[in-house]
Amino acid sequence: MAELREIQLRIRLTGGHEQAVTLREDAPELLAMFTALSTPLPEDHLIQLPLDGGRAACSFRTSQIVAIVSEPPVVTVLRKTPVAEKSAHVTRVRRPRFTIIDDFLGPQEHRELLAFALASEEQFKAGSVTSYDPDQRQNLVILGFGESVHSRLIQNRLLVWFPLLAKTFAMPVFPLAVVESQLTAAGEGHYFKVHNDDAPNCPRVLSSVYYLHRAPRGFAGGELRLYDSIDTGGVRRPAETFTAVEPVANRLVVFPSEEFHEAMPVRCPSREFADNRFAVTTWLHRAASPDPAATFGWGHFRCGVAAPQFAGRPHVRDAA
Amino acid sequence: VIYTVFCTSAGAEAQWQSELLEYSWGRARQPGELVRLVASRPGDTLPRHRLARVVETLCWSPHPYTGDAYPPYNKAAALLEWQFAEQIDGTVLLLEPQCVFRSSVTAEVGRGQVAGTAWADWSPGDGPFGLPSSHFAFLERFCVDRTLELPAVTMPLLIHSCDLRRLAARWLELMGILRAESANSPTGPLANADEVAYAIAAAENGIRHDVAEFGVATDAAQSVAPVLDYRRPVLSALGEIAWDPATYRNGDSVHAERAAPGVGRELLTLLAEFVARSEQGPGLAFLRPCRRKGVREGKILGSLFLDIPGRADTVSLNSSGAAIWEVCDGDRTLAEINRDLEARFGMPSGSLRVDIEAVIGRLERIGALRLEPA
Repeated sequence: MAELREIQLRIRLTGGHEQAVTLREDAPELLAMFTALSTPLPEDHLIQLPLDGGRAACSFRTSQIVAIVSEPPVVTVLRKTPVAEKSAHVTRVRRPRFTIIDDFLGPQEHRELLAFALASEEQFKAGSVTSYDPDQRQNLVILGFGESVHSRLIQNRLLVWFPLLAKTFAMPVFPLAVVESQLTAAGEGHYFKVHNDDAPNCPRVLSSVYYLHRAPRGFAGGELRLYDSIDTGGVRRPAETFTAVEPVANRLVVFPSEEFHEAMPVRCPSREFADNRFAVTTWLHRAASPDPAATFGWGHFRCGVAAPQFAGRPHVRDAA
Repeated sequence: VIYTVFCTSAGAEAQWQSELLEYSWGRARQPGELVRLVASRPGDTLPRHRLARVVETLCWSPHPYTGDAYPPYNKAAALLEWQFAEQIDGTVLLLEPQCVFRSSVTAEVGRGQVAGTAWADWSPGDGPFGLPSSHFAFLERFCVDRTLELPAVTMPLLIHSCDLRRLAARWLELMGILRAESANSPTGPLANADEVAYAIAAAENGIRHDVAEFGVATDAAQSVAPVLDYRRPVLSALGEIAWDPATYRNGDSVHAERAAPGVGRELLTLLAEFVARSEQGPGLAFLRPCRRKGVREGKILGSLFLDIPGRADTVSLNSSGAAIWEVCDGDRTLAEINRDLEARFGMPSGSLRVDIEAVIGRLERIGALRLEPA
């Protein structure tokens, strides 16, 4: 895979203004600007470009773009635009909701989990979605990982974070039915195409991915892409634009299960199992009805009911 | 930057302690920011402070999953939430709310280093982490490496925000485990689960701890520690209780002379001074409005605008607001500002006070000003 280039842009705006900025060629803003230039959208959009290493930003509307001079030249293949369809419904594009927790486990816990993954090579099987579909997903998985003692390390810690994560995503703390875990190994060429985790018969509400790999890292790629979503009359689909998260060891990424996401192909030149990108994926399932007796994690936590202090809480509130 | 941080509930009983801590923080000219984390339930009214910034956090006592009522859950949970939300980078001075400043703390710590107060009740044993196996054998099931040496320190402590961020969730998790596993013991749930959980979480994250003389209790004869911890009663020279924090009510008169000479009497002297100041009124008159760092001002066609760090919008001041802003130079007290503006506009004494205080209060709330003691 070729190195991603830095593209120097001079953006000419209405009124004779010009802004110079450098973006990576996979920056979603680049695609958004060229899309706006080629296909004027019915709705005007805000573009925000980071300047000065992120310490400042330049903001303008897509309708203000007159021309873009790029160096080196950029020829963008424009696919169908996210909101070009004519519809009686209002179309909304929404950024993905997610949060990153680095140093999620202690360093020894992380080492212990990695050692478990490396010692479990024989237990990994080809991952499937609802049925085995190599076009959609290629990786190896231990489906029963959730029953292991090692999964409790992550589950119990995740439950400690759960009320805060719910507050972050402005969702109520919900009673849990199941905490489901998988351990996956992604080696050379492995990927998982765009999908989301919720389904009518599978009430996953929060998804998390915990990364582990040995150091130095023996793979490249494997980023998690969280896609903007397009909502047209209540029907959601992924946009072309996304935010990428690096699979850094001991990092947990959490997002509502309805968010569209993709695990990008992994390149693992050594093709050794130990150089794979390992990940523990954990889902919190909402209970259809509260169960005060259900215990989770190490067995101390009764999360089958929402605690009274969180019930009916307005989750986004400004401090005085 | 040193962030002085303490955590309380939203209840009225915590208010006088918080105000006393705030008063001593200003009196000691402690540099940095004072932050009160308030574990609140839906419907709670958030307290207000002149100097301290109030941050609302989720309530964790009783524990949301075990029902165990144990206020220290709120501390670890509030610190976790605050660090997660604000991602600050600096030194954090962690205090219990029943603390006051005797002098300022100016030393800062780097990542991986903590300076804390010696843990007086620390009792080593032959079990996991060097704890007594009779009480802590269960930790074998929940901790990967039980051979780690625990730091025998407790609060007050100075810790880097990055380290606090790394250990807070584990601290909270372990507290729940320690309390749940010891619930059926003859002595009941572990009373010092807070300290033990902190020590294990710190050890697991490989954070080095040094003992420093930060805190002193009320029974000490003398100390150079900058922070006074008054969780224990103050005793008289005859060993009787001269003052008890558990029964004290805000505004009650204080008789410092009843305490034995030493740190306890020093506390009561400070408390008496605080009560006297509180009786003088809202206290604004002895505060100096200071412009916060990073606030930039600009003029466009004669109008004054403020660009305040952390705010997406700029704030426009009308001519009265601009006149007040211009005299908030950090040197003048509010009383002096009142006098200056009354003289400048030829107004009778006291006629502008309410308006000036309203504008300064608003500028404080939006982060343009901070009020420091004169």
